[in-house]
Amino acid sequence: MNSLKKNFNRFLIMLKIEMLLAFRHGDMILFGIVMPVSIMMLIGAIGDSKTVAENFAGVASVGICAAGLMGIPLTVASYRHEKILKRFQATPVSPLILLVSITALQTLFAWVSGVGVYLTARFMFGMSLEGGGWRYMMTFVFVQFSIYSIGFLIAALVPDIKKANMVCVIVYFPMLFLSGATVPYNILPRGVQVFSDLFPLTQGIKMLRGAVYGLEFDGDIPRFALLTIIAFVAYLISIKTFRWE
Amino acid sequence: MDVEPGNTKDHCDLINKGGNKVVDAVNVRNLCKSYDDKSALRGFDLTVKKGEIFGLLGHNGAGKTTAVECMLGIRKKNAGSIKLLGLDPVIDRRSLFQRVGVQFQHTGFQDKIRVEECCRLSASLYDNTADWMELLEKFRLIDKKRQTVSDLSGGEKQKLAVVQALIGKPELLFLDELTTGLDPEARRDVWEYLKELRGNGVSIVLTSHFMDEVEYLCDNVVVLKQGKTVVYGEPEKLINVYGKRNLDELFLSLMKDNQGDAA
Repeated sequence: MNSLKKNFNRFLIMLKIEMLLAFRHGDMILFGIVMPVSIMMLIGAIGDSKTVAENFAGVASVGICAAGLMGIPLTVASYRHEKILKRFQATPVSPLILLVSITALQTLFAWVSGVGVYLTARFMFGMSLEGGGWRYMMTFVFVQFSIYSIGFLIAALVPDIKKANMVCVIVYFPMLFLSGATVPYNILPRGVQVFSDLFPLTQGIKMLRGAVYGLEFDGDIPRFALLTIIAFVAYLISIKTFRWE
Repeated sequence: MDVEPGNTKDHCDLINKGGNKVVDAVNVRNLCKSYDDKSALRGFDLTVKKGEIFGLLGHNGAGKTTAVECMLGIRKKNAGSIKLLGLDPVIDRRSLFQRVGVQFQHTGFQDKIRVEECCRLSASLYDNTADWMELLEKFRLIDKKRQTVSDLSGGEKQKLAVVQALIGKPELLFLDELTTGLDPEARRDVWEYLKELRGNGVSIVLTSHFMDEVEYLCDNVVVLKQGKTVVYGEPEKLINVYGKRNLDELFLSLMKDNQGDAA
C-alpha cells in the first residue's frame, strides 16, 4: 500500500512536469486544443446547427488524432533518442511509469479538446447529443484507446527520431484531412471516401457520429470489432518490440 | 595487496575482523559481451571494495562503457556473473537502484526542462534522498536552478548529471567520464567531493581519459584493451612495477604494445 502510494506520488510529479513541458512547447495546445475548437467555431459560423451536428464527431476527434498520432510517438521516440528512458532504467523506478505519465497527459489533452469542442457546439450553436452523454463518452474513450495503439506502434517500430517524424507526418496528415476530422467526409469524392474508409480514425469518427445521433449500435459492431482487433494487435506488437534505447 | 597484472583473485570477498562476510560493492566474474560477431568484453573480472574509488581505463572502444552498462543490467551480457552490493542488477533492479547512482557518458534531459524540475523529478524516484538544493549549491549550480537545462553549458550539464546521480544518496556510484567538459576549477571541486564521499564509505567506479584525475582519485584501476584486462592494481604500484614516471606514461606504453596483457 505504501509502495503504491509512493508510485502514485511519483506518477503525479512526472505528470505535472510533463504538463509544464507541454505548455512550454505549446504545439499540443495549438494542434490538440485551439485548432479543433477554432474549426468548430468556423463550421458553426458558416453553417447551421445541422452542419455543426454533422461535423461535431470529426472535429472532436482532432484532439485524439493529435495526441495519439503525434504526441505519443514523438515524445516516446525523442525520450528514447535523448537517452532519457535509459537514464530511468538506472533508477529504482521503471521507465514504464514515465510512459504512463506521457499517455495520461495525452489523454488529458484529448479530453480537454473533446470537452472544448462539445462546449463550443453545445453553447454557441445549440447542438445536443441525441444518443446521450454516456454513450458518446464511452465511444470517445474507446476510439482514443484504439488510435493511441497506432501511436505506440509507431513509437515501438521507428528506429530513430527522424524516422518517427517522417512516419508521424505520413500517418497524421492524411488521417486529419481525409477521415472526416477536419474536411467533412460527405463532401469527399467517392474514390477518396473509399480510401478514407481504410483509416481507423474514419471508422472511429463514424462510431462517434452514431453516438451523437443515437443510431442503433448494431451498425457499429463491425467497426467496433475492427478497431478492437487493430488496438489488440498494435499494443501486442508495441510491447513485443519496444526498446528503451 | 601485491600488484599483479591481470590478477584479481586477491580482491575477492573480504572477511572483516568480526568474521562477518563483507559484501563487495562490485563483483564481476568472467563477463563476456559481443555485438554481432565483435567481442566487446572478453572474460572481464572486477572487484570493487566498499569505500573504494575504482578507475576503469582504456582507449575509445576498449569496452569501458559496455562494461559499465552490463554491470548496471542495461546491456544484456553474453556470459559471466555480476553482483552489485551483493544484488543482481537485473533481478533485484528496484531495490538495488535505491542504493546505486549512475551518471552516463551522455545524459539526456527533457527538452525545456528546468534544473530544479530535473532535480525534483529525480528526487521523486528514490525513498531516501539528499537535499538537492545543497547539492546544487555544492556544484555551483544553485543560481541556475530556474534555467532550462538546454541553456546550461556542457560543463554545467555534466555537473547536473552528477547531481542527479547523487540525489538518491548512493552507496555505489558509477561515473562515466564525469569530468569531460569541466573547467579545471570545477574538476577540482568534483574531485574533492568524490574524496569526501569515499570518506563516508561510498564506493565509486569511474571511467576517465584524464590520467591525472585517475592518479589523484583512484585506489585501484583496471586498464582494458580490446575488451580484455591488461593490468589491474593500485596506480602508484603499477607505475613503479612498470618503471614509468606517471600513469599517463604507463597507459600510453600499454596501449602501444601488449606488455602486461592478462593471461
